Amino acid sequence: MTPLSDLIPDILGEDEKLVRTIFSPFHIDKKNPTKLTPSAFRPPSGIDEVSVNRLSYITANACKRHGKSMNSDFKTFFGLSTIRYTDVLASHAFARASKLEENPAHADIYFGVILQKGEPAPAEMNSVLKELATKARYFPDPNKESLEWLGDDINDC
Amino acid sequence: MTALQINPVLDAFDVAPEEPISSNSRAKKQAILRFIQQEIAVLKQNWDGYGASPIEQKVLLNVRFLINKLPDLLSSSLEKDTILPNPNGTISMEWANKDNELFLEIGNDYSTYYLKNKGKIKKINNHFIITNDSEFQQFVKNLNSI
Repeated sequence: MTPLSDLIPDILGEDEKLVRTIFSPFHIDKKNPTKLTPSAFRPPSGIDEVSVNRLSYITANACKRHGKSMNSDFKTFFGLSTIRYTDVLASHAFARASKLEENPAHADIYFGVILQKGEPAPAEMNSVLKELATKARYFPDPNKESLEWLGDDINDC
Repeated sequence: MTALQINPVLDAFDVAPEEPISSNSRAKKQAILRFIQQEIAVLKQNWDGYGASPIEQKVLLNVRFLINKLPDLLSSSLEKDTILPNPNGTISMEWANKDNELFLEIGNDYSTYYLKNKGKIKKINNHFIITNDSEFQQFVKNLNSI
Protein backbone atom coordinates (compact mmCIF):
# COMPACT_ATOMS: atom_id res chain seq x y z
CA MET A 1 0.00 0.00 0.00
CA THR A 2 1.37 3.39 -0.95
CA PRO A 3 2.10 5.54 2.10
CA LEU A 4 -0.18 8.59 2.35
CA SER A 5 2.87 10.82 2.26
CA ASP A 6 3.79 9.57 -1.21
CA LEU A 7 0.35 10.50 -2.53
CA ILE A 8 0.77 14.14 -1.55
CA PRO A 9 2.71 16.21 -4.08
CA ASP A 10 5.92 17.83 -2.93
CA ILE A 11 5.09 21.02 -4.80
CA LEU A 12 2.23 23.28 -3.72
CA GLY A 13 -0.47 23.73 -6.31
CA GLU A 14 -1.73 27.15 -7.33
CA ASP A 15 -5.22 26.39 -6.04
CA GLU A 16 -4.08 25.23 -2.60
CA LYS A 17 -5.08 26.85 0.67
CA LEU A 18 -2.96 26.83 3.80
CA VAL A 19 -4.22 26.59 7.38
CA ARG A 20 -2.53 28.21 10.36
CA THR A 21 -3.63 27.27 13.85
CA ILE A 22 -4.24 30.25 16.12
CA PHE A 23 -3.33 30.05 19.80
CA SER A 24 -3.11 33.69 20.87
CA PRO A 25 -5.70 36.48 21.12
CA PHE A 26 -2.93 38.83 19.94
CA HIS A 27 -3.18 37.13 16.55
CA ILE A 28 -6.82 38.07 16.07
CA ASP A 29 -7.73 41.53 14.79
CA LYS A 30 -10.00 42.94 17.48
CA LYS A 31 -11.61 45.44 15.11
CA ASN A 32 -12.36 42.80 12.50
CA PRO A 33 -12.52 39.35 14.12
CA THR A 34 -12.46 37.54 10.75
CA LYS A 35 -8.95 38.92 10.22
CA LEU A 36 -5.54 38.29 11.73
CA THR A 37 -2.81 40.59 12.96
CA PRO A 38 0.61 40.61 11.26
CA SER A 39 2.21 38.86 14.24
CA ALA A 40 0.15 35.73 13.43
CA PHE A 41 2.66 34.97 10.67
CA ARG A 42 5.81 36.06 12.51
CA PRO A 43 8.40 33.33 13.08
CA PRO A 44 10.06 33.11 16.50
CA SER A 45 13.68 34.17 16.82
CA GLY A 46 16.25 32.07 15.03
CA ILE A 47 14.09 30.68 12.22
CA ASP A 48 12.49 32.19 9.12
CA GLU A 49 9.35 30.08 8.76
CA VAL A 50 5.96 29.41 10.31
CA SER A 51 4.06 26.13 10.23
CA VAL A 52 0.87 25.67 8.25
CA ASN A 53 -1.12 22.73 6.89
CA ARG A 54 -2.24 22.12 3.32
CA LEU A 55 -6.01 22.17 3.35
CA SER A 56 -6.24 19.87 0.31
CA TYR A 57 -4.74 17.07 2.40
CA ILE A 58 -6.09 17.61 5.89
CA THR A 59 -9.54 18.16 7.36
CA ALA A 60 -10.66 20.90 9.71
CA ASN A 61 -11.31 18.20 12.32
CA ALA A 62 -7.74 16.98 12.07
CA CYS A 63 -6.43 20.56 12.29
CA LYS A 64 -8.48 21.14 15.41
CA ARG A 65 -7.51 17.86 17.06
CA HIS A 66 -3.85 18.62 16.38
CA GLY A 67 -4.29 22.14 17.76
CA LYS A 68 -6.04 20.93 20.88
CA SER A 69 -3.39 18.26 21.42
CA MET A 70 -0.89 21.11 21.73
CA ASN A 71 -2.88 22.86 24.48
CA SER A 72 -0.92 23.59 27.62
CA ASP A 73 -0.91 26.09 30.49
CA PHE A 74 0.40 28.72 28.08
CA LYS A 75 -1.26 27.53 24.91
CA THR A 76 -4.96 27.40 24.12
CA PHE A 77 -6.51 26.54 20.78
CA PHE A 78 -8.50 29.57 19.60
CA GLY A 79 -9.34 28.73 16.01
CA LEU A 80 -8.07 28.23 12.47
CA SER A 81 -7.03 30.66 9.78
CA THR A 82 -6.69 30.08 6.07
CA ILE A 83 -4.85 31.79 3.26
CA ARG A 84 -4.56 30.94 -0.42
CA TYR A 85 -1.11 29.89 -1.63
CA THR A 86 -1.43 32.44 -4.44
CA ASP A 87 -2.07 35.17 -1.84
CA VAL A 88 1.10 34.15 -0.01
CA LEU A 89 3.04 34.64 -3.23
CA ALA A 90 1.19 37.86 -4.05
CA SER A 91 2.23 39.17 -0.63
CA HIS A 92 5.89 38.50 -1.54
CA ALA A 93 6.25 35.65 0.96
CA PHE A 94 6.98 32.04 0.04
CA ALA A 95 5.61 28.62 0.94
CA ARG A 96 6.85 25.08 0.54
CA ALA A 97 5.72 21.59 1.45
CA SER A 98 7.57 20.23 4.47
CA LYS A 99 6.02 16.84 5.16
CA LEU A 100 6.44 15.42 8.60
CA GLU A 101 6.24 11.71 9.36
CA GLU A 102 3.24 12.31 11.61
CA ASN A 103 1.74 14.99 9.37
CA PRO A 104 2.35 14.75 5.62
CA ALA A 105 0.13 17.81 5.05
CA HIS A 106 2.61 20.05 6.86
CA ALA A 107 4.05 23.05 5.02
CA ASP A 108 5.85 26.28 5.87
CA ILE A 109 5.38 29.90 4.96
CA TYR A 110 8.83 31.45 4.92
CA PHE A 111 10.44 34.84 4.46
CA GLY A 112 14.18 34.48 3.96
CA VAL A 113 14.84 36.66 7.01
CA ILE A 114 15.98 35.24 10.35
CA LEU A 115 15.48 37.57 13.31
CA GLN A 116 17.18 37.38 16.66
CA LYS A 117 15.60 38.30 20.01
CA GLY A 118 14.92 42.01 20.20
CA GLU A 119 15.75 42.59 16.53
CA PRO A 120 13.00 44.40 14.61
CA ALA A 121 11.98 43.04 11.23
CA PRO A 122 12.93 45.10 8.19
CA ALA A 123 10.05 47.36 7.22
CA GLU A 124 9.65 45.44 3.96
CA MET A 125 9.04 42.22 5.92
CA ASN A 126 6.47 43.95 8.11
CA SER A 127 4.72 45.07 4.96
CA VAL A 128 4.63 41.44 3.77
CA LEU A 129 3.29 40.27 7.15
CA LYS A 130 0.60 42.93 7.02
CA GLU A 131 -0.41 41.78 3.54
CA LEU A 132 -0.64 38.17 4.71
CA ALA A 133 -2.78 39.20 7.68
CA THR A 134 -5.08 41.18 5.41
CA LYS A 135 -5.51 38.32 2.95
CA ALA A 136 -5.94 35.53 5.50
CA ARG A 137 -9.30 34.72 7.05
CA TYR A 138 -9.77 33.75 10.66
CA PHE A 139 -12.35 31.19 11.76
CA PRO A 140 -12.99 31.23 15.52
CA ASP A 141 -13.69 27.92 17.22
CA PRO A 142 -17.27 28.18 18.53
CA ASN A 143 -17.01 25.08 20.72
CA LYS A 144 -13.63 24.62 22.32
CA GLU A 145 -14.72 21.52 24.26
CA SER A 146 -15.59 19.49 21.19
CA LEU A 147 -12.94 17.49 19.38
CA GLU A 148 -14.77 18.18 16.14
CA TRP A 149 -14.55 21.39 14.17
CA LEU A 150 -17.99 22.99 14.52
CA GLY A 151 -17.11 26.38 13.10
CA ASP A 152 -17.69 27.79 9.61
CA ASP A 153 -16.40 25.87 6.61
CA ILE A 154 -12.70 26.74 6.43
CA ASN A 155 -12.68 25.96 2.70
CA ASP A 156 -14.75 29.11 2.28
CA CYS A 157 -11.94 31.63 1.95
CA MET B 1 18.72 46.76 45.20
CA THR B 2 17.21 49.52 43.10
CA ALA B 3 13.51 49.91 42.34
CA LEU B 4 14.26 48.94 38.74
CA GLN B 5 15.61 45.61 39.90
CA ILE B 6 12.67 45.02 42.23
CA ASN B 7 10.03 45.58 39.59
CA PRO B 8 11.52 46.60 36.25
CA VAL B 9 8.25 46.39 34.36
CA LEU B 10 6.26 48.62 36.68
CA ASP B 11 9.13 51.06 36.90
CA ALA B 12 9.55 51.16 33.16
CA PHE B 13 5.95 52.22 32.71
CA ASP B 14 5.66 54.95 35.30
CA VAL B 15 4.70 58.13 33.49
CA ALA B 16 6.85 61.02 34.61
CA PRO B 17 4.57 63.20 36.81
CA GLU B 18 6.16 66.48 35.72
CA GLU B 19 5.24 66.01 32.06
CA PRO B 20 3.41 69.10 30.82
CA ILE B 21 0.56 67.39 29.02
CA SER B 22 -3.17 67.88 29.10
CA SER B 23 -5.10 65.69 31.49
CA ASN B 24 -7.01 64.01 28.66
CA SER B 25 -3.90 63.17 26.67
CA ARG B 26 -2.13 62.16 29.82
CA ALA B 27 -4.94 59.79 30.71
CA LYS B 28 -4.76 58.23 27.23
CA LYS B 29 -1.00 57.88 27.43
CA GLN B 30 -1.31 56.26 30.82
CA ALA B 31 -3.98 53.90 29.54
CA ILE B 32 -1.69 52.82 26.69
CA LEU B 33 1.28 52.35 29.00
CA ARG B 34 -0.90 50.46 31.46
CA PHE B 35 -2.13 48.18 28.66
CA ILE B 36 1.44 47.41 27.62
CA GLN B 37 2.45 46.82 31.22
CA GLN B 38 -0.49 44.60 32.09
CA GLU B 39 -1.10 42.74 28.82
CA ILE B 40 2.15 42.65 26.88
CA ALA B 41 5.02 42.96 29.36
CA VAL B 42 3.70 39.96 31.28
CA LEU B 43 3.70 37.52 28.35
CA LYS B 44 5.55 34.30 29.17
CA GLN B 45 7.73 32.08 27.02
CA ASN B 46 5.65 30.45 24.24
CA TRP B 47 2.83 32.98 24.60
CA ASP B 48 1.83 32.49 20.97
CA GLY B 49 1.93 28.69 21.06
CA TYR B 50 4.80 28.60 18.58
CA GLY B 51 7.76 29.25 20.85
CA ALA B 52 7.54 33.04 21.21
CA SER B 53 9.92 34.80 23.59
CA PRO B 54 8.80 37.23 26.31
CA ILE B 55 9.10 40.89 25.37
CA GLU B 56 12.62 42.22 25.91
CA GLN B 57 13.06 44.65 28.82
CA LYS B 58 15.01 47.06 26.62
CA VAL B 59 12.16 47.05 24.12
CA LEU B 60 9.72 47.96 26.90
CA LEU B 61 11.93 50.86 27.95
CA ASN B 62 12.18 52.05 24.34
CA VAL B 63 8.39 51.89 23.98
CA ARG B 64 7.94 53.96 27.14
CA PHE B 65 10.50 56.48 25.88
CA LEU B 66 8.77 56.77 22.51
CA ILE B 67 5.26 57.14 23.85
CA ASN B 68 6.31 59.75 26.37
CA LYS B 69 8.34 61.68 23.81
CA LEU B 70 5.69 61.76 21.09
CA PRO B 71 3.51 64.87 20.88
CA ASP B 72 0.36 64.33 22.91
CA LEU B 73 -1.96 64.12 19.96
CA LEU B 74 0.09 61.40 18.28
CA SER B 75 0.68 59.22 21.31
CA SER B 76 -2.91 59.47 22.45
CA SER B 77 -4.14 58.63 18.93
CA LEU B 78 -2.44 55.26 19.24
CA GLU B 79 -5.03 52.55 19.80
CA LYS B 80 -4.43 49.59 22.09
CA ASP B 81 -5.59 47.15 19.43
CA THR B 82 -2.76 48.18 17.13
CA ILE B 83 -0.01 47.58 19.69
CA LEU B 84 1.23 44.06 19.10
CA PRO B 85 3.82 41.85 20.75
CA ASN B 86 6.07 39.94 18.36
CA PRO B 87 7.43 36.44 18.96
CA ASN B 88 11.07 37.55 18.99
CA GLY B 89 10.48 39.99 21.85
CA THR B 90 9.81 43.22 19.98
CA ILE B 91 6.67 45.38 19.86
CA SER B 92 4.85 46.74 16.80
CA MET B 93 2.54 49.75 16.61
CA GLU B 94 0.39 51.03 13.82
CA TRP B 95 -1.24 54.36 13.05
CA ALA B 96 -3.67 54.21 10.14
CA ASN B 97 -6.55 55.94 8.43
CA LYS B 98 -8.41 55.20 5.21
CA ASP B 99 -5.50 55.86 2.86
CA ASN B 100 -2.39 55.90 5.02
CA GLU B 101 -0.59 53.71 7.49
CA LEU B 102 2.58 53.98 9.48
CA PHE B 103 3.83 50.68 10.88
CA LEU B 104 6.57 50.85 13.51
CA GLU B 105 8.48 48.00 15.16
CA ILE B 106 10.53 48.77 18.24
CA GLY B 107 13.57 46.67 18.98
CA ASN B 108 16.36 46.60 21.54
CA ASP B 109 18.91 48.69 19.69
CA TYR B 110 16.96 50.27 16.87
CA SER B 111 13.53 50.32 15.31
CA THR B 112 12.07 50.08 11.81
CA TYR B 113 9.05 51.64 10.16
CA TYR B 114 7.29 52.12 6.86
CA LEU B 115 4.82 54.72 5.69
CA LYS B 116 2.25 53.66 3.12
CA ASN B 117 -0.20 55.69 1.09
CA LYS B 118 -3.02 53.81 -0.67
CA GLY B 119 -1.14 50.55 -0.23
CA LYS B 120 2.14 51.80 -1.70
CA ILE B 121 5.24 52.19 0.43
CA LYS B 122 6.31 55.84 0.45
CA LYS B 123 9.01 55.83 3.10
CA ILE B 124 11.11 53.24 4.88
CA ASN B 125 13.55 53.50 7.75
CA ASN B 126 15.26 50.26 8.67
CA HIS B 127 17.56 51.75 11.30
CA PHE B 128 15.53 54.25 13.27
CA ILE B 129 17.22 55.32 16.50
CA ILE B 130 14.45 56.76 18.64
CA THR B 131 16.89 58.64 20.88
CA ASN B 132 18.35 60.51 17.91
CA ASP B 133 16.56 63.86 17.83
CA SER B 134 16.73 64.48 14.09
CA GLU B 135 15.56 60.94 13.29
CA PHE B 136 12.80 61.29 15.85
CA GLN B 137 11.63 64.56 14.34
CA GLN B 138 11.57 62.94 10.91
CA PHE B 139 9.47 60.12 12.33
CA VAL B 140 7.04 62.62 13.88
CA LYS B 141 6.85 64.44 10.54
CA ASN B 142 5.97 61.17 8.80
CA LEU B 143 3.43 60.37 11.48
CA ASN B 144 1.88 63.80 11.13
CA SER B 145 1.49 63.24 7.40
CA ILE B 146 -1.06 60.47 7.77
